[in-house]
Amino acid sequence: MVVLGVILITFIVSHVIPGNPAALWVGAHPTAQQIQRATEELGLNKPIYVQFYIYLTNLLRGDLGVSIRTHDTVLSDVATGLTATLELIISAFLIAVVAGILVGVFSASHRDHVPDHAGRLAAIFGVSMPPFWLAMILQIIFSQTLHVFPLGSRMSTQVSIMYPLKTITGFNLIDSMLTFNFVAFGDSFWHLALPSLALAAYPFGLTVRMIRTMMIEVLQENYTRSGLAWGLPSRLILFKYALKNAISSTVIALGMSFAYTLTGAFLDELIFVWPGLGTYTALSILALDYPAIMGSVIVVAIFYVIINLLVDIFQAFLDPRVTL
Amino acid sequence: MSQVKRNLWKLVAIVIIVIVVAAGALGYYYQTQQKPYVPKIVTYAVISEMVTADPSTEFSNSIMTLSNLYEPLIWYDPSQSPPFVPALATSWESSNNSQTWTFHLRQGVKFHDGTPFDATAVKYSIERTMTLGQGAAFIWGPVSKINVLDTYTVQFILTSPTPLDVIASASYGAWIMSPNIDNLATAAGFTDASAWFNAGHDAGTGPYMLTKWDPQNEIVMDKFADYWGGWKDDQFDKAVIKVVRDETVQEQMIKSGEAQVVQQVPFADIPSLQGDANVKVYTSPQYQNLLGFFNNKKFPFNNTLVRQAVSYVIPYDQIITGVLHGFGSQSIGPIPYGMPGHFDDLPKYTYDLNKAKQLLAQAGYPNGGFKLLLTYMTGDTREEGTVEMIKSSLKDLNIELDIRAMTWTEQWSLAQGDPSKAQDIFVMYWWPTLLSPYDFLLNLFHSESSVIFNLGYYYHPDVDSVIDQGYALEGSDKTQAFGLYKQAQKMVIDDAAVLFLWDLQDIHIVRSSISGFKYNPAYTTVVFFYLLHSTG
Amino acid sequence: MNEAASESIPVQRQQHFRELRVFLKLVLKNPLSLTGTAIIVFFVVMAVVGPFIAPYPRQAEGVPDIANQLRPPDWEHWFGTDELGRDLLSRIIFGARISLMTSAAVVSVAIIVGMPLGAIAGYYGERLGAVIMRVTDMFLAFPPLLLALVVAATLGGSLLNAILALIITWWPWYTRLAYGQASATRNLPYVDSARAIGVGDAKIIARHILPATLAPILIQATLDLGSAIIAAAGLSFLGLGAQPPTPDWGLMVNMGKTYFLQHWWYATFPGLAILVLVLGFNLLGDAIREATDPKLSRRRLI
Repeated sequence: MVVLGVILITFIVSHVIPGNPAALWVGAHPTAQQIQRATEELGLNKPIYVQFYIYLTNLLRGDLGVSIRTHDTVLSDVATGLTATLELIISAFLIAVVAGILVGVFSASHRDHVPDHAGRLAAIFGVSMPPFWLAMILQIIFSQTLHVFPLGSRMSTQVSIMYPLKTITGFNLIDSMLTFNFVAFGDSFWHLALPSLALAAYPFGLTVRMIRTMMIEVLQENYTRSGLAWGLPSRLILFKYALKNAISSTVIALGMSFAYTLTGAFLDELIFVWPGLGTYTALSILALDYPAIMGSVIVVAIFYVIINLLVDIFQAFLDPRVTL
Repeated sequence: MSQVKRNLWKLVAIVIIVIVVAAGALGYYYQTQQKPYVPKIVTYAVISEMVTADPSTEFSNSIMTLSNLYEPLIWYDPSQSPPFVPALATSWESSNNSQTWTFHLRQGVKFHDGTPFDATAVKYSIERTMTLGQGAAFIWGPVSKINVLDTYTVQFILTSPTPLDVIASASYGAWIMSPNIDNLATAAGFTDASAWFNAGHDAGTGPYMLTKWDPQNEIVMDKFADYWGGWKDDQFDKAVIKVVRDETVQEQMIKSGEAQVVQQVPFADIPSLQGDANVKVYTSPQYQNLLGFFNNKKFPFNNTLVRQAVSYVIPYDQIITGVLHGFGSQSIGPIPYGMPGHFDDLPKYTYDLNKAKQLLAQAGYPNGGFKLLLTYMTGDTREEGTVEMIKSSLKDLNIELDIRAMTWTEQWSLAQGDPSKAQDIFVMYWWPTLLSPYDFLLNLFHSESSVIFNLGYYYHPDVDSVIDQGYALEGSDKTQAFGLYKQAQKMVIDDAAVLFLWDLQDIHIVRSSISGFKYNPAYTTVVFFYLLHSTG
Repeated sequence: MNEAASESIPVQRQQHFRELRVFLKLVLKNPLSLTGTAIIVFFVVMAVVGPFIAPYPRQAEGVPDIANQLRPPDWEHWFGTDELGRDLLSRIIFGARISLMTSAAVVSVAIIVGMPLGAIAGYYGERLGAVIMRVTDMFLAFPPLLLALVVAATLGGSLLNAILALIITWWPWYTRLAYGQASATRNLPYVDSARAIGVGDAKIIARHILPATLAPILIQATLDLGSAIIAAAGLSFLGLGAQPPTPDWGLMVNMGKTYFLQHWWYATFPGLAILVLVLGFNLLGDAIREATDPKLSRRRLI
């Protein structure tokens, strides 16, 4: 139901376009007849509600239409881009969660002392960072000056030609492991480093904040204090009880930050010339390629809805007080 | 759990990690030792993606790929005189007031699919292009009949005097393909040849064959061993075109050697590249210029004096040095520098504030007072810098210019609507399909029944007739034809029909370990990989 | 809440002031939130006074000086110059005004639109509430910036359109917040008694429901001011926000991107400005949130 609304809104918004999609289709220097023919072929001369109806019926059959910019089916374009973007986002989240938990626990166990302030500062920096700026700074420092990491792309050309990677899942790291292509694995990992770091800043900040807050809460609870009084080692308390509670809230917070990270990924991809859904969507939006825009938005919205649903389910599973 | 047990688990975990890392390192080492033969690969980083691969309909960025896979009858090479160089045709002549053209074809040439090249292939290719009627097919408009006189001779009958040598060497729509493509397509399970092409196949005679077609990211081509031109040892076995949509990443790639040829780097950084011994910067004329179309149908630019006044207040030199960092030159007329048909002795406007004010006063608006709209292409930094300079200069005439960035289709839509509501200045690049001044003059200054590219709405029948006359003579008497083209150019310059801003210079950066690079402005953005030799 | 309802109005107001004073003291004692406030004040002052003290005001507005293009930071240009020779420090100063106004506009209009809607939905509930919330949910289902991108792209790139696009993206969050608070409040005894007396719905909403929704919304707003700046900068970075020659920070980072390999200052300083200002809002907002979260404050009050 909600997804239908999303489709409707996007369709309306993208058809207010003052541009001429037929002109985009035919290329740079077309003749008048070519534009006319393209207009007919693309069905642009039909009234708008007819176009919407056609779009919906195609959608139900799984046909997302043809991108006016790339002349490929939107479905194939989105599918190729999606795995690349997911690889980036998942890596970023992994880094963010691991680093965030460490810093958050450290911060909570030294509350109101210097380490706590440092941790909180790091968290706030992460959350306040404009993602595109961080990406560029990382490029300047690690790529341009120190020459440690590459400036962009998913794989270097030499490696992709000499040690071609077979695409099975679309995730380069997984595919290279499955095919024992060690060189490709190393190369993909090397290229993944900076983009995921840049993207990890925001979820890192969120994680630290969440973990710290929850752990402080738990540390104040009566059962913690009684546990301490009973003589249980403090480290055990920290990690086993406090962290477990904290993690569930963090997962929820991360789920909610997924949307923000997704849009951060868009800008990140453009800067690192990462061939993912973000680059595709951004280029489609800038070219006013409405089938591609619709397709990307729908796929992203569906993902977003799924993630939110998963978060709700997870929440209900963990906490019997919360009903779906 | 007990302390001992916990320590044991920790030990196991460490051992497992060590084993995995060691295995990975060993595997890496083993894999790299497996490749004794390293093919010679040349990688060309480009800024825009490609779209389609059908040589009959392609009219966009795939020219970079297709020009290495296919060949036309004639190459246009401005460094030669006359600029027509035999490709698939070894000689040609025209008769009957250039309404009949006969081409003698090269023998011993094969298509990539094994089919021998002959006159039937030529007839098939041109007719296919004409029938599909897309892309640059319009260039074959005057062709009424193609006759196969014998295996290696083909004849074109035209409806009017036309320079068919110019058409046969055009940058698009002139490629020759194997007549076997429909069979190949159906055999591979495709509905038609177009679908077959766009799935990543080619059917040309060129030095390279298409191996991988991922138009938004990467194109890989392998050498065609039976190419009629033959091969030397130091030429490249594989050519890769990689789409890198960012100038700064391209710059880094050429500096690190990850790409051996790049197309676009920030102009401001080129001086430092010129000092780098690992790369060589090639500059050459580019048949592309930037024009600002005055809205000739709307106040105030319907007044010639106002147009001329504005033409005198543009800081041309500052734009060339500041925005283009010297990699370009002020336009003299609509034909770009380096292209036959460009005449240095044509009049040109210079920055002269007093003259501008004078003209404006003459027109009746000594204090300016206009509010105008200029549109330009979003995301193009050179256009952006140029229009910002224009905006700032027009303030001196007390004209307020609103500069608005739009996508191409948006801009074009606006201009194709009601001229009284369209923009006042439309900034746009132009580059030719047909390698003749006619392309510029026809598309940009000739009267049109519906607005296509004459985006200044400059409709003058006397200019039209000069243009048409020129083209009619270009097939038979080039000198006279070019004389007429020059006349037409003078008319539009005197009239200040458009703002003649600048001619773009082409920059390509190539690693020093590669020799033989030569840019041909007739085939924009194309790197002919066959010409490259590896020296290092 | 019950006690508060049965007390007279002047006593209520006194109590509110006392709470406010305690609250302010808590917030300002914390070094982090103090820094945040200081940063915000600094930028506000910059926005107001800046244009008069900026070293090259005309350049900030767009007048080029080609001879000095792309100069690294030196004594004449502390932050260097851009590709048209314009002083970056002046442009950043002028840009402060744009950033603050943009985020203020986005957040305030989003609240003005979203809060009453949510309050109405929460108060009336049932049909009207369900309809409003359904529409709100539809908008919330959009990943935030995506909707803004599409709207901004179709409307055309300009500062005004970017603000509009962000408002359209942001209002549902406030509606949801207000709705939650409103539904909780509407069944409280004092609201019931007001209804029983015969006080009109509109009056009830205005005097009782809306104030109750204010607190969480204001806290969220402080944080959102920062997020709005980043979102607007993101739009400008893609070319969908302010257009040249406007000295918008996001636009400057976009332009700087082309040159940053050999001219690092162009992209670094405007981005730094964004970071610091957003940091300020987040520091303050974070501290406020900690101060008002009862669970965390327990230890202090003991």
